[in-house]
Amino acid sequence: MEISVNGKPVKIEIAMNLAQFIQSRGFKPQTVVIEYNGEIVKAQTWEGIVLKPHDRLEIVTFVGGG
Amino acid sequence: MMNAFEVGLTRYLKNEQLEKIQHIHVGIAGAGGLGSNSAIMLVRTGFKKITVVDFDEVDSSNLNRQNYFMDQVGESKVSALANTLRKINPAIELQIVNAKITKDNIAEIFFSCDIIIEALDTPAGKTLIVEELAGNKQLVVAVSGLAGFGNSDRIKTHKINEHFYIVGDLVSGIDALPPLAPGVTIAAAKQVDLVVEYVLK
Repeated sequence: MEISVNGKPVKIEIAMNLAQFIQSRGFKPQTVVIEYNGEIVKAQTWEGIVLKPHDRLEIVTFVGGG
Repeated sequence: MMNAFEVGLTRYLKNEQLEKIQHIHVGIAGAGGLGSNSAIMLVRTGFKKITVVDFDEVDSSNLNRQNYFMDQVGESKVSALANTLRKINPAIELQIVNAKITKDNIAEIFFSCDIIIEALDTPAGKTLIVEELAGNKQLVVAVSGLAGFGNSDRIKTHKINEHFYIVGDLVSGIDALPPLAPGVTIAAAKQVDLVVEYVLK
């Protein structure tokens, strides 16, 4: 199936939840915020969100410095 | 009654603009490089209702970019910043919170804020602010990528949605590059400019 990640199409071969997807793409979970179909979703809910065709993800990565 | 500072402001801002600005409550999460500089710019622009949160003390290594002075080293950041802000406008309604922001206290601290400036140092702190607050109706203006020097136009404003913006180049972290006054101040200035635009538009 195909989903959209930061505006680009991404193909996914096996069913997975948001937490697994983030790991599979090499992100450090503590450093990203995810907007899932237009809503910010908290990290503790990622495991319960199973990706489905046409889902839209915006993955925002934070680097340190303030 | 307006004080002399506020009378001075009316040379540049219409009364109705100043009134809007003075009614907005801005929460600043962190009083380091972003927080100290953005707080000062907010007060200079006329903002009066401000909550600043930080648990740290001023260290000599902060002085390269944070708006503190040699004689404030060792003092709590929120109290040092409060003194500076009151020198600009003694009439501000400032709330200072000397605490570390956690999952347990974040909602209570920022409950009454219309706008949140994310000004924390670590990625974990930044994601905490965004995850807990950006889903509400509050405007959240966060920063990612302000370290290093050169090509300062890389520090951009990214609109994620109506209530959530990120300023920065999204890649230049302090793990690899030094935080310096120009980059930090540019990011803080862009945060405050977004806030001003949001309030006055």
